[in-house]
Amino acid sequence: MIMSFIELTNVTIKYGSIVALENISFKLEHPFFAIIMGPNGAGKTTLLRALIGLVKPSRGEISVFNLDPVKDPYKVRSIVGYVPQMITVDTSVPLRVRDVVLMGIISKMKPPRVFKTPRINYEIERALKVVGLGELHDELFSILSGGQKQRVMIARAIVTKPKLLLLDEPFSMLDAEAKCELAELIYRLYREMNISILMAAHEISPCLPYEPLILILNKKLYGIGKAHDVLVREVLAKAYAGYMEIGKIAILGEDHG
Amino acid sequence: MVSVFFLRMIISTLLSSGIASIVSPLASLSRSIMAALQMLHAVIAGGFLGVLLHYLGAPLPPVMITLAFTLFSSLLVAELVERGFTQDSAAAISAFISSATASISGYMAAKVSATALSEAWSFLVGSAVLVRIEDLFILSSVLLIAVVLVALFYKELIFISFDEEGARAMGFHVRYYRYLLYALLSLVAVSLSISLGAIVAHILLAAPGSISTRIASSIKQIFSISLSIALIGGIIGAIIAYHLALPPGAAVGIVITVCYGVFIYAVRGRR
Repeated sequence: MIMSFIELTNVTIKYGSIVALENISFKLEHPFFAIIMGPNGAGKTTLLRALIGLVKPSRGEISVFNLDPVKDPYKVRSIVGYVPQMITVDTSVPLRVRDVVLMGIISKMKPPRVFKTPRINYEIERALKVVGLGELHDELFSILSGGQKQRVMIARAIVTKPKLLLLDEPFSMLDAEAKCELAELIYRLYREMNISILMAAHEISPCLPYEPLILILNKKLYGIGKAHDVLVREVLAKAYAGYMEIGKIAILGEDHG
Repeated sequence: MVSVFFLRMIISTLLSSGIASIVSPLASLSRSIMAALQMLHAVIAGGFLGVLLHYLGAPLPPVMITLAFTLFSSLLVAELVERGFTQDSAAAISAFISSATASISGYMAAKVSATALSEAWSFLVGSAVLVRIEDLFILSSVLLIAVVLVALFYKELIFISFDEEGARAMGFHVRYYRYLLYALLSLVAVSLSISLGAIVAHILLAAPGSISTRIASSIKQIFSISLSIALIGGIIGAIIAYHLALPPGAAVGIVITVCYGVFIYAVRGRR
């Protein structure tokens, strides 16, 4: 029987001598809607990458739906959707929207691929409708707005019906309205499609109305819980070296020194 | 009446252009142009090594040794990139090895035989003037292999170029596709060096893809434009070479360089 959760036990990850994550332990029951929050270099992306076996822990154990991402990375990746930071995407490659979503389908087919076009077209259109871009399937990906690009990348990730969706900084470079619309879409995937969500984000305010579980990370895990439990001085001051308060405003300054 | 030599030269040039037009866009999209050009250094080194070993009694023909060395060199680059080196650094390391091999092999080959260097020289300038039927067979085979491999895997190769991180996360075997691309590039580098010479192969491997990926608005257009540029360069170059008694490789190189210059001028004009 597949146990429905992800679990990290005493996980430490190093890049050479640099510690990216230190002694991280937590467990999330499926389905969950969670955000990893922390300053630059906190290890948010590393944590997401570790969950799909792109980074190996130097110590500790990771379980994703009862699978070990180190031993079975491709099995894990078959049930997890991943939306990378947009900065890693080369938009000079002239792909159409439907091609980008097709990438998700092809990733789950073994070569040599045999394309059953009507079925594939249906899957692509269905995924694009879910993210609200049904009309744009023939457009060039590069000409879309930032918010639309993120939606296409989400369509690519959900076209294979994953159990877990990992998103790396989905709100970066979006305006306030696009952030809120995207947060609503991601929440709908969780509520209506029963997909567990784990996203790394600097900014969590667009998601706060949906009461996400928040993980406060800065190499170590400083807190995990709902906003009113973890967005408090005691936790934030530990995670953010430059934390300060001016009146009722908390400033989450990052220590770059 | 068209001479047999001219006919063979035209066929050889067309086949070479076809091969280049297929792989050049993939090299450009995957930001592997430097790695591809480095493979031509490996061809020269492999050529010297092949001739040397041939004179020393190796059972393999020089061209096979050249192919083996180029393949080794390209897979070394692929593996270094997989291990975190940048494309440029990986290509540079491989180029050091190729340069050292070329120097040592060339020096030793010259000592072994007075004609060895002139044989190795054919990899630099090509043999399209005196194309043999065997050369046409090799070029046709490489074209067929390139067409089949690209037809089977171009989507994966392009997707990886578009989003390598995402491709890995989704379960694409990026390492093996990189091996495949680099092995194909090395095969093409050797075949182009045989027909047109390694010097001109630089231009044919880089220019069609560089131009087409900058002006095309779809993947189909990229391959169409790349094919057009390579064929135009090939045909006009071969005709010029025949009438002016130039090496075909040189003429093809000049025509494609002019195309590239016109393109850059046109792009600057639009800005």
